[in-house]
Amino acid sequence: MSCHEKEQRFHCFFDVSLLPFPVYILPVLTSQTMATFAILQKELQSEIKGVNRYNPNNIPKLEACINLMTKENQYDKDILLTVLKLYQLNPTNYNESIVCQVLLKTMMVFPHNDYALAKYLIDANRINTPELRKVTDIGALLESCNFGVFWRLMRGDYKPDDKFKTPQVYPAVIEPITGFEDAVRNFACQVISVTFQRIEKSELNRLLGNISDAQLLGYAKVYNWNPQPDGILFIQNHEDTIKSRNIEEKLRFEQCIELFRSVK
Amino acid sequence: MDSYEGTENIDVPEDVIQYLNYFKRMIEEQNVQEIQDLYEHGFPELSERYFTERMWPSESVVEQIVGAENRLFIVLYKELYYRDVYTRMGRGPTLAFRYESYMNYQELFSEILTQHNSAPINLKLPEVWLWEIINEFVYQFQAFCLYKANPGKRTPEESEDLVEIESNQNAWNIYPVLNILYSLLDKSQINIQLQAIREGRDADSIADEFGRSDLYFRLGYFSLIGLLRTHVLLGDYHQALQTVEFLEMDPKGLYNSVPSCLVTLHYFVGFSHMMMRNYGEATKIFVNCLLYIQRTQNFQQQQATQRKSGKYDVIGKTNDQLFFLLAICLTLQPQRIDESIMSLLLEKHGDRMSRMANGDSDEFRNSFQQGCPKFLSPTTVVFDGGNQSKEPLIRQCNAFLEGIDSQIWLPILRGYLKLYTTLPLKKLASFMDVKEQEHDTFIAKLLSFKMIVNELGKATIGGQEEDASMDLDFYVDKDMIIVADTKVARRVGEYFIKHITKLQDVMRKIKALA
Repeated sequence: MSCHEKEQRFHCFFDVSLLPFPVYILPVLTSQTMATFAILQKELQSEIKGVNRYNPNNIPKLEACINLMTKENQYDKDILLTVLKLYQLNPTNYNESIVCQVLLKTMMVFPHNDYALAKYLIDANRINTPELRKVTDIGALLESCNFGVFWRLMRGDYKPDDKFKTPQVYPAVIEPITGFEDAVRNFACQVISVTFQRIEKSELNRLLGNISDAQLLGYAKVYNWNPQPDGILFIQNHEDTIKSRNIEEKLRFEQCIELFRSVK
Repeated sequence: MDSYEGTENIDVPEDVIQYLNYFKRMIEEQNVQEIQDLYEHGFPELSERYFTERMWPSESVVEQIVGAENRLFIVLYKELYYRDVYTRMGRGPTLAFRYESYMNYQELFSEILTQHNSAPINLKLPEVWLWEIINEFVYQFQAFCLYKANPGKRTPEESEDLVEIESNQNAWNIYPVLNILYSLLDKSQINIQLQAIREGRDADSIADEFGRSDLYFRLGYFSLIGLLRTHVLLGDYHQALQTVEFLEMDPKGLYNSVPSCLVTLHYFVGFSHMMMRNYGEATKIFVNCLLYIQRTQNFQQQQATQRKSGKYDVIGKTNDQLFFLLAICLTLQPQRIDESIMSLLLEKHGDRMSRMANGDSDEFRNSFQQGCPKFLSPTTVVFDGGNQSKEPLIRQCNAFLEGIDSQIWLPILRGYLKLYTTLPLKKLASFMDVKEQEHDTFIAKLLSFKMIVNELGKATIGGQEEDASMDLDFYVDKDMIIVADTKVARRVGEYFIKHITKLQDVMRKIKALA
């Protein structure tokens, strides 16, 4: 394994130019025995076409690819859904760790509904294991845009209650997934952009996980927000686009002309 | 395995003998018109007249009547024979029949797909029969999966036989079923042909002789819809929609030629969209289908009287299901639809819809279970214990409800927001009884609303540009919500014109009668 472990190559699902921090694109030394995600992905693309999609012999390669997807912060919807499908049709090959990774990866592309699609492919007798419950709990929070609670769980600020009896287990769930927190923040930023015109910094921090001022400014730059002196950020001018409208009926003369003709 | 054999050796009515001989000749002469008539009318009429108490003659008897040299005719006859078996056996056929029917389909498809045929086989069948072959094939697979998961449907001997069948994996296993359908796709080159048609090119120029043959083209086309259905039954909505990617939903499509095909296509495509949260798209498709059924309903009733009363009324059942699903979609994402459908919908489900709009998730569950297909698990085999055939359905239902958890709030939020032009966050929170520690969840609801309304989650294939008509929107300025309402004035003028013209029509008719 190369020693460039700290650097992460952001070949994200999102446009790289949108990320708020500089991207280190360093050459990664791939030894001959180590495949990268890109290589496996290319091979699989031709191998899971048509009816071959259902070939259970593909499972090991798909699993290897998914492990790399997680480490290298890459994404391929088809590969993720294909492996779930194969588990469905070949229950003896079921692998819970892979399923957890698949679900967590799909959460990283919210608001796309890949997560929902993935959940449909998991059988009833699998979905309620303790491990998967932790994952789907997180999924439910993110699906409902509940960033406040999500960050409190991750930062250890959540007191146990009926909804989350053991809040301390959750940070470990997302830890192995490279770039998970960034993805959540990106999603949050998108939603904030369409919802708010102005927002208080404290509220914003709640939704983004109490990041540093510098990081906040970074996101502001990417999403075109304007920090204002009184601790408030100007997000977007919604005034012009979101207005009450009255759609009046427009009766055209042509519609009535037949009528007038027929009346004696 | 053939328990009915003994009683059939004698006593086949003369009518039936003539029918069988004539049928065989028509198939050999490729007289599609006649074949269609024999298939759609002849078979049901004779069934009603002679075969209400007993079964149609078995294979060996028929061979004695028409001779054994036309194997293909025998196979086609058996296709009808087994379909009749499924219809008449209320609790489902025995394992023996299911197995034999599968073997028959294997034989049929082998004939069509077998590699050593360098040319398309010499057969012409009416579209309705081809569609029903594929549809029945998928249906019997579905029935078998449900049968495997329900020990209550089996005798002890059958369970033993089932063990053997399962260990050999040679009947109604998901892999051969998929294989057959995909092979039909490949052989007919249906996807590249449809793509060419969509792009305005000539399909014949790019297809080989198999692709150009009517039989293969149609089987390939119908297989797309068969696969669509199979994927939905397995909960793979994305793949379902991908499968029919190139299939245009327009009046020229082949599916229009068979009513039950059209209805099936719309139902499963619409359902897939609904599961993928594209409620606007789903609504459109459901409404189109309901309008179609309404328009052709008189025609359908005629058809129904010609059929045996026991025969499963696909269109009628789907009609009911569509209304349940439409109720769900319109509650989650209101939009204007055709007036006549809307009034029918309110008549049937008005109460239900208002309960759903108030966040009653039990009502959602109910509607979903009434409207959804019978999902299946291809691998579940249960020998002891309870009936597990409903598990997949319950799973899909729960997954669906989990997904709309955040959306159940939408109609309630909408209700409050409609009353104001500006509304402080705190005030809305107090209306919704939000406690201090639930502040995050409250903000989350607002964020979800915006996210969903903006249709950011939309992932339609071949996406539509027009938005669903959005009646309500808002944004948050610091701690104040600013609401934007779209009021559509009632089309009074149009309404009057319509009714004046109607009245004039009636007056004219009355005068003509006088």
